[in-house]
Amino acid sequence: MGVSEAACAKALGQPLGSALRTGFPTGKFPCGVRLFAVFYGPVTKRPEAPSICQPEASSAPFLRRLILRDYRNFERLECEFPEAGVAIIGPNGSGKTNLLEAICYLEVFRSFRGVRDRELVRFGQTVFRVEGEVEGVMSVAAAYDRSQRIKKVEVDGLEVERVSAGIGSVGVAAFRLADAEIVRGGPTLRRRFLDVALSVGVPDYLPALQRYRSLLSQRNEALRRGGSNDEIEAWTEGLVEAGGVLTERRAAWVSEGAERYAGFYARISGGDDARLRYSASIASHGGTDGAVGAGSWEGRFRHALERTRERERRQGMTVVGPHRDEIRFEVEVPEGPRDLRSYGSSGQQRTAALALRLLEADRLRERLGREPLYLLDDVFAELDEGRSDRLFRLFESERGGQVILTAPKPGDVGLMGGKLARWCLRNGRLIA
Amino acid sequence: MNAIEALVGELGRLPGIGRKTARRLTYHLLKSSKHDARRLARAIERVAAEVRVCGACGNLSDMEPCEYCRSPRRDPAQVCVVEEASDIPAIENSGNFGGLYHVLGGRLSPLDGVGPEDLNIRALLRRLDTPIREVIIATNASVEGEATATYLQRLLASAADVTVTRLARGLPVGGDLEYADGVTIAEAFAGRREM
Repeated sequence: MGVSEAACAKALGQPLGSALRTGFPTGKFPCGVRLFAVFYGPVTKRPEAPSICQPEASSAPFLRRLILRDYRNFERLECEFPEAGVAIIGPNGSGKTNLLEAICYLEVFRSFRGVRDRELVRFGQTVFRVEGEVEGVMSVAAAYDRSQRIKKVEVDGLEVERVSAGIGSVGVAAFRLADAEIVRGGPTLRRRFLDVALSVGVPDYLPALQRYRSLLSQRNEALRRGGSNDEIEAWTEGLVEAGGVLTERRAAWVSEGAERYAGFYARISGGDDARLRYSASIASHGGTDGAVGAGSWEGRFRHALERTRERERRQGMTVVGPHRDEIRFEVEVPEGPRDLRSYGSSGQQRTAALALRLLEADRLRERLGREPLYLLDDVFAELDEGRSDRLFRLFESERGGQVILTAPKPGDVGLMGGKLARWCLRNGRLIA
Repeated sequence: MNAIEALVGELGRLPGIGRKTARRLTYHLLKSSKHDARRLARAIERVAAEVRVCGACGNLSDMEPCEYCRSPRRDPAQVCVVEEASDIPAIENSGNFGGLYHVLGGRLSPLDGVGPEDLNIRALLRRLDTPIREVIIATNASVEGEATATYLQRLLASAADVTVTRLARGLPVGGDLEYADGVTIAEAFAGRREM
């Protein structure tokens, strides 16, 4: 999307920078929440702030301030978060996930629920705006105008040339209720998880992925049209090259993280023996397993394509390759390894998803060289008391970063919640 | 439809020209002298009447064979394969290539319904009977251009004793390394030369 400053300024009525600087009443709020009950209306100020809200001086970066305007069900919201974090309690439909989604928007500049930007604008409005201040790191702002389809992103007050240049600057590790779908849903979700994780963390991954996708659709079309062997081969050359890179990077991500994943799973479950495996469709079509580099995956991919040529001709599509790979989540039981996708309980699947996200957060932490911001969206719903407690303790003992969590009932917040400030969210309004 | 709207409509059908630009061009022509407008009309008519596809190489020209194919100063041992006739002036302007051309008229793209049979490939194979030593494949560095290059390379290698080469990829001359994308830099590293 082309985003020119002039066009955006026109769309927003004024340059975003100045809008952000002047659009809201200034003034220092030591803590707590400011609410604008009506559009530009009176300010509902919280009279007293509990001491837990006072941000303490520390070197660890944290989200200090968040400003939303016409985002989802929030007409106008401005709040200052405590350094340790906050537990946000609110009934279903009060906007808990919307709030976390808005924070995450500052990391990826799109909805973590996969919703289009125009659907994030509050009903009846044309522009939404999200602004966040990460203490000691930066301020990030994003605005979207649905009438002009213009998105504008600013980092530290400067507009970034391309939106993609601003991605990943906040450092957000989001744990969502929908994460369990990665374990229990279709394989596409598991591949997408890896694609996203690797696109952010590995420089050559995204170009290879984009190349692979166009080559794959061209090759499939050539197969569908019954193209000659020579024509199919013309698409095979690039496909095995890009596919070799994808398979190698994915398999390495999983095998390098498998031990840590097992550690996280054991900690949350109370000692269960879990495994994370990358199952390459290339490997199951001839070729041996074992630690191999991208070049060797390329050779095995070529070999696998040769072996499946008849089948792909029949089906009119490429039947082997990274687009058919799987991540397997297993738990060791006396009878042998058990696949969690088919046989796991809701709690076990949730635990596997949490361990996977913890592993991803670890990678993010290594890349940032600091703690990310942890967002936990109603993740305790399916966990028994023991697992919830152990998860809380894991965050308490090892994670120095700020935690912003949501739950529909105060009872869901458990031990850790006692240490965090509790805010209530009702109808798009935060009450500390 | 009146004359002005008819011209706006025709100009608006050209690639890269929207309705607004078409209108601006139309009014520009109306404001400039009638002589200019007639000259433009004549040029368009001449192109439509005189330009043909060269039977030998697929280039667009008002001569048959085209000016490159008929030139005695060009080296018939080298043939440069391009996707479109419009790629030739870019190569000519470099002043670096003195061989002949071959225009494919597109690139492989099954999704757009373009297979090998839709490209000017048979004529290229026929040309291998002439004393060609080297075929330089200059298709674009896109996914489709690369696949087309791979296809031609395999085909030519099996059809005749001819050297097949591909244009190098890497950093643009005068470009800043700092601003190059990762894929281009990786290509430049892969194709580095000893000095």
